Amino acid sequence: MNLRTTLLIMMLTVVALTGCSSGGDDTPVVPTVPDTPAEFTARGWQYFESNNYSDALADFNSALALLPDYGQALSGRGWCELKLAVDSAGLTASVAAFTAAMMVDEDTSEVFAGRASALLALGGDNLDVASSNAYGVAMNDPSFVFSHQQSIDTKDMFLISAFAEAGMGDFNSALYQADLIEVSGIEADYPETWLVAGTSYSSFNASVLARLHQLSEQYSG
Amino acid sequence: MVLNLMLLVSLPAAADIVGNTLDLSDGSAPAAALATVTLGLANEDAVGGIQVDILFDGSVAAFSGMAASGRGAGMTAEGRVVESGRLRVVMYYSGSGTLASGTGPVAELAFLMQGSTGNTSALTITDIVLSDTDGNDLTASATPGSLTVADPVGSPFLNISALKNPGDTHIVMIMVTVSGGSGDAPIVSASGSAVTMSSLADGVFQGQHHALSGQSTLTITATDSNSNGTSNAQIILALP
Repeated sequence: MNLRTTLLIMMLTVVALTGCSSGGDDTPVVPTVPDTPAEFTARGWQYFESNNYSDALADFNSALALLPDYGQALSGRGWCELKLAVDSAGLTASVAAFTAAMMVDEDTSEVFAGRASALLALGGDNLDVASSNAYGVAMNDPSFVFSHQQSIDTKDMFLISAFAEAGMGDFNSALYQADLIEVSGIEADYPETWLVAGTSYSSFNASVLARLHQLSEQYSG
Repeated sequence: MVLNLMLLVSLPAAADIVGNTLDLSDGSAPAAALATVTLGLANEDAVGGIQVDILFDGSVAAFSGMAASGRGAGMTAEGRVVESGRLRVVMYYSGSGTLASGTGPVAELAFLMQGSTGNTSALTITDIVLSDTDGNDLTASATPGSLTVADPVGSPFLNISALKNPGDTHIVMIMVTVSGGSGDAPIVSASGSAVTMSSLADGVFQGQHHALSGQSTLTITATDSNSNGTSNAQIILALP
């Protein structure tokens, strides 16, 4: 075995031991049995990325049992509670986790994005904050992509804001947000523009909602 | 001779007209249909051009279009919504024409009606600029008209929009718009489960549904009735 071959084997061994981490990133090494908050959190996100939200939540909770103010685990808990929610209690728990993350300076776009989604789902008086949280992410972080579910990006933030505005009955604001994704050409005062996918609508509100439905199908999540 | 006498009786002579008055007629149509109103002018002075703003309630009607008619048939007529609920109408002769002293319609305006039966909007004429053939301002007054949403002629018309929460696409906001409906919330179900709907705006209702984890499609139906019958709408949503 020459020196070149020996070096190659050593390099491959190192890569295998570090879990094939993608080149150059700082993702924590995830051992088989996590021991620290960071390790539990890293494994939690791995579960999350494979849509195993129950096990992910368990890991985030384990991390928080060791370090209650661990912002990344609070963010993970918020996202898992959102994914697992079947009623307002679950959504409220999600919002609480995201809010707690923000309180410990984990005020990232991912936290605001998740919080906006949960507030949108809660509806009612929460819609105003949902809209402003989502719009804030889109404005402050125009290239936002949720690193653990990359299908969620800036367009989704505009959608959340648009849906929240529609949910408050403000269809002009909803259209404004939707047009930041793609200009529709719909104008409130011109019925001839109340057209979506070749269908004319008999009211401005109906055309805006049809447009939101179309964008939801194209981009949501 | 007989015809001439009839005209003398039925049409006011120019000498009988005092001042210049614009008026709008009343119009009505069911929701989602066009209502037409007439812009009339009784003018003592010869008129070269007309500009007026017409105020209306944008939740009851939307301006759809206009055309010169009657005595104004030779004029160019343009209507443009300059701000919500304010329509600016401009009529003028491209050449050297004149609207001689007289009485009668000069234009027809169409509005698309919206919302619940019985909703009414005043049509108020304001900011009148009436000019003679030399471009001098003429004094003018105005009489308002109105628009009313009439009884529907058919069963209700429903549209369903389903907005998937971007953070979790199994949480769906359901929005239903109804024209010519009962006024009550439509009956909505999502894959067989009843969805409670609340009124959001005139003819717009919203509810929310949590689809089951692993559910790949969601069938949403909405139903409403009026005195003419019952209507249904349905969409099938793919859930990622």
